[in-house]
Amino acid sequence: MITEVLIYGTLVSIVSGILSYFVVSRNVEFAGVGISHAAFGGVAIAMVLGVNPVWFLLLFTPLVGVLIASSPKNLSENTAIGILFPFFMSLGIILIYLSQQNLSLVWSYLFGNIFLVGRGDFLLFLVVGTLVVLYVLLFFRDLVFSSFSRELARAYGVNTTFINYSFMVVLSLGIVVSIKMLGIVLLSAFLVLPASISFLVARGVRRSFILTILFSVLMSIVGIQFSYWLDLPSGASIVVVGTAFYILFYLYRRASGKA
Amino acid sequence: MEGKKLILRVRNLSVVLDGKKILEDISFDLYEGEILAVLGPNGAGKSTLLKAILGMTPYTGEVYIAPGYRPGYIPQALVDMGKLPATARDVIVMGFRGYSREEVLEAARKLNIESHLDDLFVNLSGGLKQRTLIAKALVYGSRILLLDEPTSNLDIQSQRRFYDILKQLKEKEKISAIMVSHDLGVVSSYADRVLCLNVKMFYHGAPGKELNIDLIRKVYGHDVGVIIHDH
Ligand SMILES: Nc1ncnc2c1ncn2[C@@H]1O[C@H](COP(=O)(O)OP(=O)(O)OP(=O)(O)O)[C@@H](O)[C@H]1O
Ligand SMILES: [Mg+2]
Repeated sequence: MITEVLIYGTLVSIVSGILSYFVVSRNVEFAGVGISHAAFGGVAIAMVLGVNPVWFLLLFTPLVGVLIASSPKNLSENTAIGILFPFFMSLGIILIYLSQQNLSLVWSYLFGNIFLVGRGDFLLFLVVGTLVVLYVLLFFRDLVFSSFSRELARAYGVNTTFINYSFMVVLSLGIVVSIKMLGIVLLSAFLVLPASISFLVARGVRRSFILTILFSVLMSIVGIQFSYWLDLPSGASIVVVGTAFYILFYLYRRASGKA
Repeated sequence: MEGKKLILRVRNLSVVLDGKKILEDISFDLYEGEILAVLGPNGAGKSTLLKAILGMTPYTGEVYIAPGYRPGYIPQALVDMGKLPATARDVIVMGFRGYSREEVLEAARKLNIESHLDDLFVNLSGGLKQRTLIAKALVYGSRILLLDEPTSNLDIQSQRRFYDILKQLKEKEKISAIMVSHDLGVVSSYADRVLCLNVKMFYHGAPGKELNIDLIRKVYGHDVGVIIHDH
């Protein structure tokens, strides 16, 4: 059982590590937070409609991602997120309140539990995770370039609009298939921590990319082990471990005089 | 212009953004190995002109670039940089495929940045950042550099170094450049041609006698004081 969970955790953290790299380097951390929280509204709508929440989210979350990416110029992306995210959360809360849903199910979406992940979830993750990895492999150069500077990338012929929208969609899909493990509330930390730790210590595009994935895998394996031994919620354990890593490497960097 | 190759032709270029005329009816030519200086007050549309040539902004009119003379862009400042811990070497090859290590080294040598290739780009000085972006354009195979106020953030020594490099690229490699500048003195000593604009085109020609105080007053508005230096 624990080996299966560790394998699942490793694969999920590879995917979210890859996403984390671009979430942090593109400065869209808040979009990650916003999309995952808006997903709560999607879960509630699906429960009320009586459809499978994960399948519903596969449609719902990319729409939120596109909505955020298409916020008009005079409305900053962060403003759009700041409006959409509490709106969909509130919608979710109202729907769940009115329809008297089973709260433990709601709880599992909010905070995740990797030990409750079923075979169907795993298969869906494999399909979507492969899509995410293929997308990143295919557009790695353009993703990196437009993360560095959108203006410069545009000048050198990168279709930054396409990259911007497609990344939001891919990010949304990656978020949906990670929800069962990490939960809506803690998932955003998973999108921010791995790359943030890597960027503290790594220099160079390739090296920092590989380190981001390594940190992501490491924090999830260590976190899962802790949650197994101490019988704690998995998502929360992973986030605590990741934050501890961040603090350690931050102090290391301070001590080595790089900060 | 006998024997010189026409590499960029702009005809009746107009740009309208949000219903506002930013550029109107701009026409000029650029020949191989020439430096064209673009002069004009703030908000005149100078940066927009470069962006139109690069296809980053919608325009009407004609922009013809000779085959193989792809432009390289050195923006006014990279204000939209994300958090990527990219080294100068990363930045030089970013977005490109099919370059060799030697090409990167050669470009770095021309710009005198070999010893900074493994430094983080964000930590480089303004002058080094700029030279890194020129090296990038060279690796890209650019034969036209589009330089947006390249010296406005540089100290005097870096400015001199920049102009030396520009001169070398022009003379040794016949690289052309369009350079937005506010420095009339520099324009008259480095530019082969000048384009004065403020939405419309006021002057296009050699940086000679016609580029006088009256013209500058006309382009910039009437109450500017102008000091012409001798270079
Ligand atoms: N995307 C845009 N949408 C609407 N207006 C714009 C846009 N970009 C630029 N402008 C306007 O176009 C005009 C010209 O801008 P531009 O940046 O080309 O001027 P500039 O000559 O480079 O000025 P500066 O010397 O300050 O750099 C300005 O009035 C600016 O407000
Ligand atoms: Mg400008």
